[in-house]
Amino acid sequence: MDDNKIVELYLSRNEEAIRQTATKYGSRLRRIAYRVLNSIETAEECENDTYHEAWNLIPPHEPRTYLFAFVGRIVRNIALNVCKKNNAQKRYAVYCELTQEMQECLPAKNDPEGAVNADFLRGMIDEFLESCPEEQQNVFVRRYWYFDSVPQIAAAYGFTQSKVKTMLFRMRAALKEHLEKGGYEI
Amino acid sequence: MTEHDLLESIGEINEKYINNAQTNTVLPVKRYLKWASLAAALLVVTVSAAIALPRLLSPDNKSVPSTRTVGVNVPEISISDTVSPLSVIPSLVSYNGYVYTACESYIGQEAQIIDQFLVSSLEEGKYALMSYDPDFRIAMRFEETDGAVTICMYERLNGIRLCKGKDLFNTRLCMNTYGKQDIETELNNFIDSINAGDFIHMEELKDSVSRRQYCIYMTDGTRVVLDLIEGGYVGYKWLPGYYVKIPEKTFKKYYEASEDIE
Repeated sequence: MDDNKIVELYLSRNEEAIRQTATKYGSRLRRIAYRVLNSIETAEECENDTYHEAWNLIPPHEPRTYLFAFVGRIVRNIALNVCKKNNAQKRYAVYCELTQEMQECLPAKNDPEGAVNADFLRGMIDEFLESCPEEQQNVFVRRYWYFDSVPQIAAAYGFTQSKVKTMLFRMRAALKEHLEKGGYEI
Repeated sequence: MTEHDLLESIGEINEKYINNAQTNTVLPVKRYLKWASLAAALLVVTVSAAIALPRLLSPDNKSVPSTRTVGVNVPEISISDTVSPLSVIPSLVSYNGYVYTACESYIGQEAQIIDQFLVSSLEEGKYALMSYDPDFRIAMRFEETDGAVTICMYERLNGIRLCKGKDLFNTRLCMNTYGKQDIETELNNFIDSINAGDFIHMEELKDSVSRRQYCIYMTDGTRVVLDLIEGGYVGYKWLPGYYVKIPEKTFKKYYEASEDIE
């Protein structure tokens, strides 16, 4: 079933919408959560929470042309929040890796306690990605949106692992510079 | 702003980047097809020669090889002559009369780890690896002028007889000696099921069949990439067309955690 029809089902409050979303995107959503949580059970819980959240958000949202990105964002956030809650125990190795890599992108004059202007920050990241070649955009998104590991990205694009690592390293440095130049302030 | 905020904000990027990253992974299929074609070509040569050789050789000739060795003597390709210069990684090499096809390659840190497991030099540039039978797997070491080392595995995946999964995955690939995994640590049950499975040959898979790849990391730094086919079939990435069937329940867990290759 195409995304538009699934969204129509959500809008008409038909529970078939959830079944159709699960059929079409269930395994992909589960995998995003699994990569960062490394637990099938917790990933399944995140997936179920995602359907519940999507049910609550559509309407008012109508992601007719971007349903996967929409539910993907939800599962991603849910999984990240699970990691954040349990971060003290350092249970999630992938999450630790990702946050360590993200530390390299934080502007030098950064206030960790400061509130985040989420829309502005998202705009800056979009702007940054727009300035990168498509190859780099894809690698960056695979790593930090889909949570792919370096070997997985290398296999997906036919690159060597060292090329992927170098590319990500340079992109993190470039993102930091972009955030600083763009005047990201808390 | 914390690193968590930044990671969370990346989740909100424009959906075009999300879709592009999902759909632009066309290369693995091409690579897969390249190796699949190569392996298929080798198999055709192997099978043809297996049929032709007994006719060509005298029936009372004591040196007529067994079924197992007929295959490995088949390819009459002088590959070693084409291996030049060494910095160009060949897709086929010959050693001890057998043809080996290029499989996984490793660079950088990975190569440094595996370098320690190259136990003896067989011929120029060719090495035996600790734990592996050189009749199955050898390695070649390529050093660039800047000192960067690439280690490429070559495996004899033609002219072999495979009955149970263990014939390939345990005896040859030593998959039972897996090391620390990226995403999973309890592999015993999965590997036992693969070893116990019967090999079957499946000609061509329909486009509609879902297939994924699952990577197992070994203690020596090498990896074994498994082809997982919907329905409980497990194969080796570099030997397309040959699979073992394992119980669905065991299969499902790893299938879910693996990567789409189509």
